[in-house]
Formats: sequence, C-alpha cells, structure tokens
Amino acid sequence: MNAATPVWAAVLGVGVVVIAGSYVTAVADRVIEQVVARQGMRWRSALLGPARSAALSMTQGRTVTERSDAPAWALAPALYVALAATALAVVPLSRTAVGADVAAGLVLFGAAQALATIPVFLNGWSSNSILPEIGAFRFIAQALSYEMPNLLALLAVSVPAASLRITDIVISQQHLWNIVRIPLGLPLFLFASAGLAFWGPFNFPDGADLAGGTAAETSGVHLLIWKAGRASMLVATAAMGAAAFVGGWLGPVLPGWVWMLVKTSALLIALVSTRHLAGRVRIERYVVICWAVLIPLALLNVVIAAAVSL
Amino acid sequence: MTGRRPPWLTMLAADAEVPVFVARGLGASGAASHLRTAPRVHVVDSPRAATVLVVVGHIPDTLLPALRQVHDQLTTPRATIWWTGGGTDTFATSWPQALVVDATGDVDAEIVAAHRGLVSGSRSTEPPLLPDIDPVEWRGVGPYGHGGSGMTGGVPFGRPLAGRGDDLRDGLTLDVVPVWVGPFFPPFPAGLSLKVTFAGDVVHAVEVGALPGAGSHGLGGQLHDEVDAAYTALAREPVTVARLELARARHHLRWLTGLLHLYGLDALGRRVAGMERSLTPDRAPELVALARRLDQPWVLKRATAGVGGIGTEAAAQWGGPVARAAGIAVDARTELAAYRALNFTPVVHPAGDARDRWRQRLAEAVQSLEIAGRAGDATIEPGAQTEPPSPPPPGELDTLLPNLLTGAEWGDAVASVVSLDLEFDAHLTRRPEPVA
Repeated sequence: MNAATPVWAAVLGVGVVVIAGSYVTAVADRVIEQVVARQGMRWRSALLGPARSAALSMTQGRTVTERSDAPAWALAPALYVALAATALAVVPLSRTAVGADVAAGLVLFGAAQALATIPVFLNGWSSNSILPEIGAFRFIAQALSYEMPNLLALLAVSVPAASLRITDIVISQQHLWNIVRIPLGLPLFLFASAGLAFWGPFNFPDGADLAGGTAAETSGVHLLIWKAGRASMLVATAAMGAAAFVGGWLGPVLPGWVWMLVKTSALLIALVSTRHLAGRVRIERYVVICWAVLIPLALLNVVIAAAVSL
Repeated sequence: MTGRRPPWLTMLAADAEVPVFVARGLGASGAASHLRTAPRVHVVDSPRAATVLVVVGHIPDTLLPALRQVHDQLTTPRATIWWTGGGTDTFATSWPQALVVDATGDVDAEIVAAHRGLVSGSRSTEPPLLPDIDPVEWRGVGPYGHGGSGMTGGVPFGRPLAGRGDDLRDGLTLDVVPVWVGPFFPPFPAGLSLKVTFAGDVVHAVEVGALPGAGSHGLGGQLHDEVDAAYTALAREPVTVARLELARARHHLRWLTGLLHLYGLDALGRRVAGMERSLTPDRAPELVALARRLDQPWVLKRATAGVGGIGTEAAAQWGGPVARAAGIAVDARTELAAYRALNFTPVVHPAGDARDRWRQRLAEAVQSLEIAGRAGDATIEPGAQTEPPSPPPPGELDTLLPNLLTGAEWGDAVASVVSLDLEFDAHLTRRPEPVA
C-alpha cells in the first residue's frame, strides 16, 4: 500500500470505482446498443435505465432450486465483485492515487483475473441445474486457455520497467508508451482479457444458447451483483490496459487522473462495443486460436520486450 | 415487505424496462417480433430474470404442464399476461389468474401496468401453480447425493444422473447426462422439445419430444398476422404477388432476428426487427448492406460457416431455402405464370451450411422486395401451389434432427436447429396429437 493512502480511503475509493465503473459500463452498453440498433437515441433510457433496472432487481425475490448449494450460490457473485475490486485496487489512477501499490501488483492483478474461474464455476454449478452447469464447464475450458496469453502479455510490460509494480510500469513509459515499444502487447491483452471476462463474442458461459448460462437460474439482487461483477471486471481490464500499455496517468496539460480516466474510458468503450459488433465465436475455434496462435505470439511479445529493453 | 421499502426505490423500479419472458405458442411469430422492438419491454432468455410472463398465441393442452413450470420459475413478484386471439372462454377454469389481452388490446401498456402494479404493491404476486414438493421422493444420500453408491446413468428418482457414454470425437470419454430442453426454450421454434444427452457441451444423442398436434385443444388462439395470413389466404382467394413477396421478406427477417439474438447480436437484431415491422420494397438496398455487414468474418461468417451442414441429397428433400442454400435451384414459383412473366429465377448459395442458409434467406428477402416493387397488380389464383417462405420438413423430425445434431457442440446444435427455420407453425401441427 502506498504510504500516502490510508486504508479507509483505499477501500472507499475502490468501492466507488466498482460502483461507478459498473454504472458507466451499463450506460455505455445501452448507448452503443442504441447506436447499432438505429432506432433513435433514447438518452433518458440510456442514462437512467441501469439505475431503474438495479432498483427493480432489489425489489425481486431470490430463486430457490432443488438441492442447490445455497451458500456457494449466494457467495459466487460477491466473490466475483471482490476479485474485480482486487484487480482494480492495484491499478493507479494517478502518481499518488492508488488503492494498493504493492510490489507485485502485476501478479496480483493476474491472480485476481485467474481466480475468477472459481466464482464463475460456482455460479453455474451450485444452482444444481444443467444449463448453468454446462456454462460453468465451458468457462473452465475458456479460462484455462486464456490465462496464459493474458499473463504473458502483462509480463512483457514488466521487462522494460524492471519491476512488477504498476506505478513503476507507468513511469517506465515516460518517454515511450508500451503500445509503441511492444505493439503486440495491447491487442493480445485485450483479446485474452475479454475472453477471461467472457464478454461479447466470448460469452460462452452466459450465452443465449444456454438461456443465460451460469446466471440462468439467478434472479433479483444476486443477478444484479453478478452483472456488476462482470462490468467491474471489464473496467479492471480497461484500466489495466490503460496503465500498462498507453501510459496510464502520463499526458500533457491535463491532470494525471483525467488522462487515466480518458484512456480507461476509451478502452472500456472498445471492449463494450464488441458485444454489439461481433457475433459469439465457436468455442472450439476460439480455444484452438488461443493455444496455437496467441500463446506463441505472447511469447514472441516477451522476447520483443526483452530485446527493446537491452 | 413493500412497507419497508424506500419510496425512491419503488419509483425507480416502476420506471424500469419490464423484463419479460415470452412463452411462444403456435401462431405467434409476429407477436414475438413485436415484443422485441417494444421500447418499455426487455425480452429475457430465462424466466428467472423476468417479472412478467407473456404467453402468446395458442397453447395446446400438451404444453400446459411445461408452461406451469415456466410460470413458477419466474422470480417474485410476478404476473402473467396472455396475448392471444380468441379462445379465451376456458381461461376461468384452466388459468384463473390470467390477464388476457386480445388482438386489439395494447399489450405494451398492459405489460407496463402489470409491472407497475407489482412494484407498487397494488397488484399482488401470483402464487405458484404447482405444489413446492420434490417431483419424486428424495432418496439420495446426504444433502447433494444422488442415491448412494454404484449408481450411474439414467434418471433415478426423477432426476437425470450422469452415466457412461462412448466418445464421439476426440478420445476424451466424458460422462453423459440427459436433459430435456424446451418446449419454451427461447431459440427453439414454438413447442419443440428435445431430450438432449450431453457429453460436456457436445450433443451425444437427441430424442425429439412430442410435438403439439394439429387443431389440438388448448388455451388461447392464434393471433392474426399478416405474414402468415398472406399465404393462408391463398387457399380461398386471389392474392397479389406483391403481398406474398413482402410477407416472405418479413418472414425471413423475423427468422434472422432470432439468429442474431442467438449469437448475442441483440442490437442488430432490434434493427432487423424494426425493419421487418415497417418493410417496404424500396428498403432492399438496406438489406443488401446488412447482408454484407453480417458476412464480415467477425460478425457472423466464421461463427456460422461449416455449422449444421446438410448434404445435397438430404437438402433436396428439405426443399425451400434449405435446398437452395445447398445449391439446388428448386422453387415452386418457377412454375407459376405470374412469376415467369416477372423473369423470376431462384437465388442459390453453394455450401449447405448455416452460413449459407442465412445468406440465402437474406438474398431471398432482397429478391422478394425487388419483385414486390415491380410486380404491379399481378396476382396468384386461389389454390395455386406457390413456394412457402419455409416448407415443412421432409419427414419426421425424430430422425432428421438426431442426424443433424449428434456430435455437434451445443452452440452449433442450437444454431443448426434455428437455421432450419421450423417456425412456420404448419410444421408442428402436421403430426397427430401424442397419446398422453
């Protein structure tokens, strides 16, 4: 933890980022959907819709299924939000504003993303229902494939910085952003992270062919928290992409945190819009692409990072 | 509970888009398409996420038990709206809580009113229709056990249990588990239910459930729909080519909306549904542009290419767009003088897979609009055999579907079923009612 940030401020800050980030993600999703659907912009619905839907979720009851693993089912969405919050905590908003500036921040971030396998699996498995369970198993195959290229893409940025601390990684980009220095990094990271967040074209566990997949039996507040967790994981991905590849808070004139917000928002919008622009790919092809293409590319990316850092 | 809730929460919740689960009966494709474009309504995939169950069209008696289960799966508070054209006299005994909206009613307003009533507490939630008891006495061991030692496979005590199955493709033998999917599974045509034996998410075996019988007794009536009406009218009166072709184009676009939703492309689906509802012949260029966009590699091309392939011989038996998507230029319209006068030649695509089926249907929609635009007042005489938008399958689904789906990954299997467009309800009413 940064000495300048008291614990309560860090916890509060991360909480605010999780809630505000989820909301912004939901609004962006609606705006992009309306743009693609071309049926006129309904700004009120886009801006207030997520709040209204959230309020509705809070008035709804929870689902009971036969012989469910109730504690695990209730915990899964909360655990997912907690992991997204952990991932967000290590990403610096500016030189000084960072929830937990730990020495191995990059590893902690990767661990939080990888551990998401557990809540996603639990969410699908514990309702004791088949379609959610298939979603859960799909995610295991998906996450196993995508953790490696994801972490390799992240590790490459630690080579020029000679540090795993994210603030150091941002500072190492003072003269040259990583997107220029190791150009393969950002696309690899975004692709693999979108897979880990099972968003848009990679939505295998919660897809329409499983009637909602792992969340098919979930309702009310649990569904709301689940959606918030998914949105926060996307925000964490965008924030990490901004910090690790496009210079984080670095930028002229404007204060650092503004730059960080601008860059994160741009990446977030790019990630969110994939849901409306690309159809869900076939899971087999996707897994093959990962093992046969992304992992070799990610290794090459590490070698490039090492070469340019010599 | 309402008493403790802060008023601002109730106000916000009352203004939310209403999450609706649509239980489609027969004769309801137009209604389903309407609900997808309604601004205050959000159609959801799982009843667990819905507050209002909207039942559309005719529900045969054979589907009522499954419908009651779907009803009880809705979260609380919940309400049911039947949107139906007639056949409402038996509701009082069979489904007393039903809020019935007929063809002339404003279903959107009724949905919103029911939702607001539920949120504000002025309308009480519907109690479950089925008793909350185990379907069969629980004889498992422990809280999650499935019946003690030595048991594999089958459906012991009414609950499917994983058993042994042969490996179908990659040398990895997985346990298999049988599951009923349908008859209200949103991507599937109304009334279709499959007993799918899953090995992981690969389809190990498929059995087709009983289909609703023709003219069966049940609840609710089919809603009048211009798309179906254009073709049924042909049995008794002359119908203009322009009307038939516009209806064909609309039929194909409705079908496309479902396919897009399956692939997560809801926004594009809403655009297509919007086009369908106000389709005119001069919008053909928009459809051409849409087809080009969908055939981008990352939109639908790679996701559907090679999925649900049907060989030339089998495709010839299917007829209709499925045959033409496999390169066979069969089309009853080539025999009709009115179409010959318009220089009609069928469009074809070569591959016979799901991708060519959606490309085929979009190309046919474009062609239909183009014909409708220049057909003038050319008419088809009553009783003439024209090409329906989607002809019935060439035989029993219980052999056709297992051949197509066995060994496919579940996502591909669902896409294959959707790609056949079994939606024209005539298909499902051909078979005799099953003996209960």
